[in-house]
Amino acid sequence: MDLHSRRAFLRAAAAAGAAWSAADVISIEDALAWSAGQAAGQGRGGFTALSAGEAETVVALSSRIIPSVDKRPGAQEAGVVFFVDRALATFNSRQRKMYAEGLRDVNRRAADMFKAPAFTKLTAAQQDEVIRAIDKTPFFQAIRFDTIVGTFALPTWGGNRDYAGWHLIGLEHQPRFQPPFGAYDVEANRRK
Amino acid sequence: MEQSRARARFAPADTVDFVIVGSGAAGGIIAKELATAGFSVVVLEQGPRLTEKQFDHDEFATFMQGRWSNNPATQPQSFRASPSAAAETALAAIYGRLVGGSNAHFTGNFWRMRPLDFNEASVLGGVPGTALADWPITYEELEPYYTKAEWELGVSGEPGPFDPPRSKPYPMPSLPNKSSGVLFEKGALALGYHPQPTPLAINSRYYNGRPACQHCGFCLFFMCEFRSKSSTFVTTLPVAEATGRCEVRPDSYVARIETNSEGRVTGVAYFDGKSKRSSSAPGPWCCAPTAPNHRACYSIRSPRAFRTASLIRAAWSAST
Repeated sequence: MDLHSRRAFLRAAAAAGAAWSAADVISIEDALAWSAGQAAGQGRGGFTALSAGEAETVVALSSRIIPSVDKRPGAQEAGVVFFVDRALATFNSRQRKMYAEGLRDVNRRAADMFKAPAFTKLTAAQQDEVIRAIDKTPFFQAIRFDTIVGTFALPTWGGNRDYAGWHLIGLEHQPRFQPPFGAYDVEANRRK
Repeated sequence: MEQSRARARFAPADTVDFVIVGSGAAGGIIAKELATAGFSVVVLEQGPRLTEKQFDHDEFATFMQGRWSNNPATQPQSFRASPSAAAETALAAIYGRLVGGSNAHFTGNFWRMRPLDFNEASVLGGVPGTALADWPITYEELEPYYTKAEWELGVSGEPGPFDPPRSKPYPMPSLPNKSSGVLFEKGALALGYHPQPTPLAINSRYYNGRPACQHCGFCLFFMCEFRSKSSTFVTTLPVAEATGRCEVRPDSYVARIETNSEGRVTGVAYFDGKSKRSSSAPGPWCCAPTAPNHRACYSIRSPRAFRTASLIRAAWSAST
């Protein structure tokens, strides 16, 4: 499959939302179990560490860090907020306070800078302006890191839903040899 | 798949011929040599015994959480750049903590050292402030063992123009060049260098009952669920255990090398997660990575045994 048609295929598959070829055979069962648990408990109070309002702010912030562009999946489609919630509820609980304060802070700035009721009510450009004001803070560094990890780590960690993050970068998690791109002839190279 | 193995079982109080500390590149090989020569052997491994079903590609767990490597919270390390600097807590050395040791999660690079590496001090001179010394053996003396290791473990490679002499070719052809290798090779050739495929302890074809590499790309810090990486986990340890004379004891963390009143080493004391135990053997072999090996030697309370271990330790450090 050439690069162009492969991309088109990936895009079509991503649009269809199918957990198709990139399925990691070993972890797919775990991923499904986790996803099922999430779906079951999702209602209004599906989060463990985050409140519903905090979760919305995490979605908005992570969407500016890895936005959905040109119909490709971004942090929101990858379900980064579920990764963040699970992390704060378990192995990353020491950052819970910093998250709570950081999320309150962006809402406060939204009110101060734009007289908006919440960060989520701002336009993308306004949100970026708030982020520029905080992008050196430990909180922003943490949510940036978590957004990247939540987008690309195995779905068993809560994010990268339907392997959205891997579709984004064209990663096919297939154990097979892919010949190097372009014309390559080792003998010809050595003669030169 | 897990093989059925005729594993030996010794009671912790049993005296065996040899206790080996660590089950990786060194311990895993010595276990096989001793067990097949008829000795009773206990291999103490601080990590768990995993199976291929547990070898996933979870980068977050592996790189960010150090799932199968030493834990800086419970096994703290410190580092300083000079004797006068203050030591700071740092994860200075990462090693595999599972049966197979770091050898189970290594990349597979399998270079031979070159003749000069053995007598550098006398040929090129010493380095001020160091105790650099020649090895007590030469490349020529070691060569048959390099060949034995390459054929017993399974190494894929292709000789290069500057390779030291070898008595036998590699048992398998080199693995195919990937995109990054192509770029590197083109660049190196353009600069007049002589690139060659890296010799790898990874099967490039079916070898010794194990399949060829499936090119998943998860070698460094990951274990091979296809059993294509020629680590001691799938090569020598199963052979050692199949003799019925070797027990690999997982979750066994060595705390101290024990000595008697005459200054003779009698065995090791270790923790198995539940209680402190000891394993007796006239000959313990410390096959841990360099830093934990030093720690084990500093635990020796007999000055005489400590001096002996210090001399051996100096030789180890030169080799690692």
